[in-house]
Amino acid sequence: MSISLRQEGIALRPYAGLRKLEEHVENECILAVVTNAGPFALKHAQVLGLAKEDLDAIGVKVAFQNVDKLRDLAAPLVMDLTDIDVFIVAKDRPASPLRQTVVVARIPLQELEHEIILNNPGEHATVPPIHNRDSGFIVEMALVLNKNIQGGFSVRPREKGALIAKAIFEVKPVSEGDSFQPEPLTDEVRERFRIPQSSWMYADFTSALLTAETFGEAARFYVHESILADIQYLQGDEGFLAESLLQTQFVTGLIYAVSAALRDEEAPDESEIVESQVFMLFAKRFPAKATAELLTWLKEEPAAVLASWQSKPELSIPLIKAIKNLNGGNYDLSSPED
Amino acid sequence: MGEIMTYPVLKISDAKEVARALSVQLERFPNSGMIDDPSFQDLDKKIIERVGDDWQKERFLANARNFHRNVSEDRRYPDFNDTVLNERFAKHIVEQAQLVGVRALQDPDFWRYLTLFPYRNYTRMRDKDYSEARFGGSGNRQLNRWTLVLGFLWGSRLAKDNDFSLISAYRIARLSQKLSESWVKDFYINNVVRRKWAGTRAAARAMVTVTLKEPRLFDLSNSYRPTPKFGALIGRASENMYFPSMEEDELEAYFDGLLARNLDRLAPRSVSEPNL
Repeated sequence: MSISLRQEGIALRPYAGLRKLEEHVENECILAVVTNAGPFALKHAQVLGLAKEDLDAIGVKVAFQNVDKLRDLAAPLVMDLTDIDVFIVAKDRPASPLRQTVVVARIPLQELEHEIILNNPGEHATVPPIHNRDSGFIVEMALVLNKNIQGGFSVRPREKGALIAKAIFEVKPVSEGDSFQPEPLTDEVRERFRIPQSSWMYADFTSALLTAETFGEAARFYVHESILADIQYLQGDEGFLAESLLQTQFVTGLIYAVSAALRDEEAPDESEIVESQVFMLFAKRFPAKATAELLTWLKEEPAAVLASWQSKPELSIPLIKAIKNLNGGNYDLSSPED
Repeated sequence: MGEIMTYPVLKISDAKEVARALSVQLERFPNSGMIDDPSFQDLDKKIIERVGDDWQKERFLANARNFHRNVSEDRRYPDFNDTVLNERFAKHIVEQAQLVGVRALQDPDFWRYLTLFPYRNYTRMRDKDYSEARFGGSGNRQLNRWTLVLGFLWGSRLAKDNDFSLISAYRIARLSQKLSESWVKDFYINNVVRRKWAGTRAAARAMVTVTLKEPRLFDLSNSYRPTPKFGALIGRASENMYFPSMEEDELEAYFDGLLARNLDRLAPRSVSEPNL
């Protein structure tokens, strides 16, 4: 399980008194989630990572900790409090093939109670995005103007459908499928990490490398935008070689970063490290090694770890064949482990 | 005790293997590849039945065969082209989705199966290859770029009840003005398939409707493309208007106003616009 923060664009809604209302919504509107992994309370922009199996029969409700104050803060923004409706919307995350948006509830703010249940724990979800264990879901709570307001020059929302305030919550699956995925190396990323304009890859290993429960929190791997786009269309040997190039770059960086982090005086405790997604990756790749042995090996002999990682026949034989093919073919290879 | 519900899936590693085999085979025998082609029977072993949902297998596969048969026949006619193929599939896959449980439709591995088994012929006709980008290999998690998912979003975001007219409305409007079809796919993919706001289906439909109202917006060249600008403008508006709260006619009226206020900027009359 993990909780992280979303980053959103900035909206322009210059309504007087809006900031206080937004602060209230961001802090007092909660997405309460009940799963086998325990109960969780998400605030606006938080992302909850759960194992896929914990997404089944998940309990989800939007809770308002102080409805009276919410109404008090919203009132100055409109002519009448009956002008505002509360929308609860469930959406698929972009990783879903369906990408659905479903309005789950529409309630006049005047009639809002302290919670709205989207799904009871243990029950089969009827709202499709909540039912999506493959890619998770997003829940939005929005305060929206429900009628057109004529005339007046005050800075207030006037158009039906105008968004007054919104809270967003995200629940996503985290599993072995949460693998390292290359992201585009854009100019913004180059500027952020102060790397040359002509650079084509960059691996950012975070301070949570040895403790993070998701790969995304442990490391980010950036690859030149056009390489990333073009590589998908390569096939056969060219495709395999291009993928190998990226994989080797990243794995090499990862092994040396892990080695350095383990040598650090302030390295986390072994009990914490073994729970991390990165350690699990190495434990899976080298199942014959005991935990302590594997940690020492990574720390002391990163070059040997790298060579062993690359020795996997599924990787090395196609690599040798692909290069032979580019050179005109004619190979007669036995397994390099023979 | 009830029967266990299952649906077919193809894991990514197996999908890559199947795609490689299909590529080799099709290079040698360009006309093979239909659903029941015996030369691909070995590949069927890669299909796994996953527990958790149901689909009407026989009907679904029969419809897929009919789709391919009809397309093969219609390809002989001069007015059948790549754009029409995309539109046909967009409608067809939305109808097919009615035969499949939501849980299966949410599973990317089910779409991998569809791409490389029942719809391998469509994939080849549309994309001319089986590269991994078509079904999410090489870490491609942008599902709206997968061949079949793209078609599904094109269709599902524009269909309403049994009305599928908006799926092809932009092409038909262009033809009525004697304009080429070269920007039609771009219009749908850039606006309906890829825009975040188009997840609200009423907004996707309203955008297409307003684009085709007078004064109609037609993309004509790389330097005269008002529709992606209109799509971007709607995207900025969606930060301040809550589209899921609005009915389709309200969205239409809102987009109408937005377009009227920005028409000169989006589609300047001074720029090489033909007499429409």
